[in-house]
Parts: sequence; structure tokens; C-alpha cells
Amino acid sequence: MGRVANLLLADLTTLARRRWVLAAGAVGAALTLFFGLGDSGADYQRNVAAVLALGGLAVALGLGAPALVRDLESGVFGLFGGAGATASDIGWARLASRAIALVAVLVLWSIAAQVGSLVSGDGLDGDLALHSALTIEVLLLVLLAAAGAATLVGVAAGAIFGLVVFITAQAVVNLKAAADQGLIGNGASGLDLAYWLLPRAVVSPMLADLQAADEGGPVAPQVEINGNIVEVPAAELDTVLWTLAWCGLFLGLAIFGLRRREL
Amino acid sequence: MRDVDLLVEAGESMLVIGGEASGKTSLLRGILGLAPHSGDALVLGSAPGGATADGRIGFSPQGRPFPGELRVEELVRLIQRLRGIQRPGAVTETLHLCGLADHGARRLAQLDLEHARRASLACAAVGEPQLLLLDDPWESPETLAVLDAARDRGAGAILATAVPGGFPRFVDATLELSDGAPA
Repeated sequence: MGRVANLLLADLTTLARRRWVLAAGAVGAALTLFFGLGDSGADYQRNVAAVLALGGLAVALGLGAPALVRDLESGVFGLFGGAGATASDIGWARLASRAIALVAVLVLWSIAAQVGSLVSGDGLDGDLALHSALTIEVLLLVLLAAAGAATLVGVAAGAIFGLVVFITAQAVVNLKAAADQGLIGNGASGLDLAYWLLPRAVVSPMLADLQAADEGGPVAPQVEINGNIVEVPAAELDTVLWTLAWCGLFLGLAIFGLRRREL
Repeated sequence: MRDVDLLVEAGESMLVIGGEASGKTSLLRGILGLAPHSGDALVLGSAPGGATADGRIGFSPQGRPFPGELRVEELVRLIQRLRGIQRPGAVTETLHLCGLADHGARRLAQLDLEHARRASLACAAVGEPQLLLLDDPWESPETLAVLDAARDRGAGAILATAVPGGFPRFVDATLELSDGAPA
């Protein structure tokens, strides 16, 4: 097994024993199970989506922002570097382990929701499963953005940057939808440019339907402009791929940020 | 660091002493290749960093530079693997040598300072490296045993400390640093 794999396993072991990660996994699973057992239809989907998005956002920032910040590590990176690991080894391992941990937590929450739904007789929810997968993609973007920025500007600012990316991605999609419907001008194509350059939220068909029916809750509140409702469409493949490309960009930023300083 | 000129032959040991911020840790990091340097330097026949990448240097950092959730045995095994050492039993032997035979299953965050320093020592000692770099080692029977074992197999050792204590009696040479240069 190579150095990256060994470091990855060690960090995963560390995360699996970290109390806040365990607590987040348990509390989120309990909530989604509760919603699965007690709610049905739009209520069920809305509440589970809220846990996935808001709880997942907190976990993504908590895992991502401190992942590669040398000053937080009390010499751990130097210990690993003194044993032959390079900054890239440490960076890849840390980011991979944090991504795996985030996916594990969100999959756990999603499975708990499905189990609740199944036990309560509503059956499995394919739309929710797809929504969970797309939410994971957006939260991976946030994790990598926070990790990358934190290597340059510190943990707190990195976390704020991750949050800004999350909000910006959603705003870009909403504004583009409003412009496409003629509810706002596109600012002499400035909005189009922003849409094609910035990371975008990956809106699932389930969330688009909830929002259109004004059932989206805090995760997808219906947007009105001059009394007209903005209908945000579900993301298509190009948006899924574009967001993945941004994940790659933030991954590169994180590795670069770690390598520019001594271990 | 500037104007440093030192030679440690196989089987020899050197004590680097100096006060706070005198450059002791920077010197060790330079030897490891973790800090940039200029001038000529050979570490085990390679430029700084080469022997580190090959896993031929055992490094014991100062303080408690550990992921606290890992167990002692897991950390030492991780360092062994990062250095590319495959020998079975190396971790167990090292824990025994460093006085941690009964602490292998303990989480690093639970160790008192004395055992944390032993864990750091074990990170350096595992796998019988050709060069030991000990930053702020405790003068303890375990440290001396690790130095003896290194000398017996022909490995070099460099110890850096602000408090030399009895170490000068156990090393072949001493270098005193002050403000980043030999005093």
C-alpha cells in the first residue's frame, strides 16, 4: 500500500473516532429516520432535503476547512514529511479521506430516511435517492472549496469561502432561471457569463418539483420577482459535469496551497 | 540558519544545543529536506530529502505532533509504512525498546507527556533507520537504549535540545547554535 493510501486510512480512522463526526452522523440519521417514519410525500422529502443540505453543509465545512491547515496540526505534517510523505501525498490523502467521510455521513442519513419510509409503508423513494446523490456532489464542492481556500487564508476564512461558494452556486442558478423567464434582464449578458463561469448548484428533479409547488421549505424557497414565480429547472448533465469540473479546480487549489508552504 | 558545517559519520552521534529559536529544529528540518537550503549538504549520500524519501531517516519531532485519536501502535505502524519498512515485528520491538509495550493500544491524546515523548522516540526508532534525528529528546533510559542500538548497527544520530543534561557524555560531538549560527 502506498503512502497516500496509508495516510488516507489513518485520517479515516481519526475521523471515525472524532466525537463531532460521530455525533453528526447519529443525529442526522435519527432526524431523517424520524422524518421517514412520521412524514410522507412532500413533507417527508422537504424535511429530509433540509437535513441533507443544511446538516451536510455544516459537516462539509467542518471536514474541509481544517483539512490541510498546517498550523492546526501541531507538527503532524512535519512528522509525516519526516517519514517520507510529500505535501502532495498528505494533500491527496486528507482530501480523499474527508470526501469519503462526508459521503459516508450523507449516505447514512439518506439510508436512514429510506428505511423510515420503508418501515412506515411508503416504500423506497427513488427521487430522494437521486436528490441525495446530487446534494453530495454540491457538498463535495463546498468541502474542496473550503479546504483549498483555508490553505491560503486560514480556517475561518476558508469556511466562509465554502459557504459563499454554496450560496453563489444557488444564486447563479436562480438568477439564470429568472433571466430565462424574462423576469429580470441578463445584465448585458453578465448573468450569462456568470452562469457559464461560476460553480452552479445541482438542483434535483425532486427539489425543482418541491420548489415549483412551494413545498421546498428553507432549502428551496419559492422565489418571486414582481409577483412572478421563478421556476428553477432541474439540473441537466452539463451542470453536473460543470460542478465536477469546479471540484477538480478546488482540488488543485488545495494541493497547490499545501505545497506552497513547508510541512 | 547560516555557516553550519558539520559531519556525522556512521555510528557517531552529535548533540546540537542552543536556546529558544537558535535554529536547532530548523537544522533538523533542513537535514530532512523539509526546509530549503543553500550550500553543499549530503545526507546518507544524497541531497537533503533523498534519504528521507527513501525511509532511511528516523525523525522524532518535538512536542506532541500526533493525531490524538490514533493509538500508539497505529501511529508507529503508520510511520513504519510511510518509510517503506516491511519487516514484521518491527513495531512490537520498537514499542518494547521505547518503554511502550503496555501502551500500544492507548490513544495518543490520552498519553501523559513522558509517554508522548516516548511515542515520538518510537517514530524515530522504528525500522532501524540509518540516521536518527531526535528533536528535544528526554534524557531517559529509553532514549539512551535507542542511541545505543543505533551505534551498534552503525547508524548516525543527531540530537537537538535546549537542555543538554547528561547527553554530552553519550555523544561523540557537540555543536552549539545561537541565533541561527554556530556559537
